[in-house]
Amino acid sequence: MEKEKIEILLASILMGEPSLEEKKQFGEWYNASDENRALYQFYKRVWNIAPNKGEYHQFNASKALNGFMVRVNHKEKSRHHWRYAISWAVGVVATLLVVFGLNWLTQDEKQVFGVPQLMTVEVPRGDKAWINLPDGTKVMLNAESSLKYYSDFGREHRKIYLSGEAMFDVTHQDNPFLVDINNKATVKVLGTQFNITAYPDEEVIETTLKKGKVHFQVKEHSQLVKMKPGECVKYSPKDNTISVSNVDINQYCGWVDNWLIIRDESLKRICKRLSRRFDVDFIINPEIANQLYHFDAAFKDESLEEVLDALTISGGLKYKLSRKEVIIDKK
Amino acid sequence: MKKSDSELLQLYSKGNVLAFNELFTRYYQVLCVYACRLGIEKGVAEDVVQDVFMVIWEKREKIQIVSSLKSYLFNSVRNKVYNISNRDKVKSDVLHQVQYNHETGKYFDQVESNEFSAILFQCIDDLPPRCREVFQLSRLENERQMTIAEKLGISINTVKGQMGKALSFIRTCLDDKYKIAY
Repeated sequence: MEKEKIEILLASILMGEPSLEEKKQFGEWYNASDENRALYQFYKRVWNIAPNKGEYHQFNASKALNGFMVRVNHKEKSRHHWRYAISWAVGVVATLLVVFGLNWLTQDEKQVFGVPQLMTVEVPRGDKAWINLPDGTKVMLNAESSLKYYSDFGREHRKIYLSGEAMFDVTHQDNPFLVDINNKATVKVLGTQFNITAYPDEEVIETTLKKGKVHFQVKEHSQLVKMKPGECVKYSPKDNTISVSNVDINQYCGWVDNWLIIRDESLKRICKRLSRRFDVDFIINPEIANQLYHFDAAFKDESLEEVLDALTISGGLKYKLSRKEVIIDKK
Repeated sequence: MKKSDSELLQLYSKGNVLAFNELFTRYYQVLCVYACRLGIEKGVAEDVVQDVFMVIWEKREKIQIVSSLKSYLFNSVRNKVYNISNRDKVKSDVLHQVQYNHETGKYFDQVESNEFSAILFQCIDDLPPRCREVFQLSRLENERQMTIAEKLGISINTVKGQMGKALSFIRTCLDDKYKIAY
């Protein structure tokens, strides 16, 4: 057999789905000589040693780039004060780049450094992103969410605009940190950790406090809620009502560490969360969509199929998954 | 449009930070895995790779890389890892341990194996684009031949053909580089 053909044959064997004919050919070739066997062993070794997915994925380049920029900031801050101002802007640009990809390369960078510009960070479905704000505040932005702020953030003010879900770890400063939620409510803080869920397609805005102090204020209310750690404020803009309850923090903040915790929610809401996390669309039989399911489940790093299996088995449902669409129905 | 390494490097030397970010994201994972293969821990590997990028970052205006950026990066990581291993005696003992290979049922020298896998790694990265795509989808992502064919819009026979080419390329590449390394 000629060299090229042998390599194609070996490729097929290594890829693991040889045809019957190929198996037969390989058997004959393999048994023909020691040289052939040695060649196969060589390729098998190459195949086994070649890096696999897990090895790659234990390293997160965008997270590392953020960390790298923080290091650069510290280094340059200690050297020249004025360069610090530039380098944090660079850090911001770095974050934006991670989110938007290379489209920015073509844009004039002067835009970023001139008069206050509205900076937008958007995260698509199926993804999430760390954002380092210039004041040291860290924000983890969840799927299908956006965060906006003016480029003079940190100098004149600390105000940001959120739509969707985010977890905040706010650096303590006397200058208060303000989150404008869908232009309907504000959260005012000094330094703390909290989570906000405010997807425009959901009826309720939720703020959960993990640590510190937070003031929650609705635009149309004079009422100000002074929150304590472990509390969740639920505000419904539709009925203009506020309720405060003690909750399991992990259920609201766990997504940052890839937890997906589901407790007594309607099927519709569960599916909405899954569609954001896994970037799929759901079609639910309307008869069951609004029913409250008493699921009590915690998933970490699980695949969509694993989550769907668990939910449908315990809920007496069935599902069909095709490409980016999941159909859920009664059994 | 994907920009080449040298285009990005040139943009960066003129002050375009976004070009630097792109290079960082392009090579970070590969270099970290490469460093690990040379026998250091995950956390140390990340530090080493970031240090290498820090040199590039700081040399902004003065940057002059004669060979390709890729081989500069791989070599720098390799040198740094060896410096760490020499400095740290305990580490170097670990580096020299003899390991049992379940695949072949034989013992082999860890150093030899690290060296081999590290060079293999560069060879995979050097594969012609199409070959590399097929190799990575199959080996890295464990995709089936059918799926690879669909994803790349080629026939299953072409998938096999590209994989065959990849194998032969890797073999020649290992022959070349392995000789240089010893």
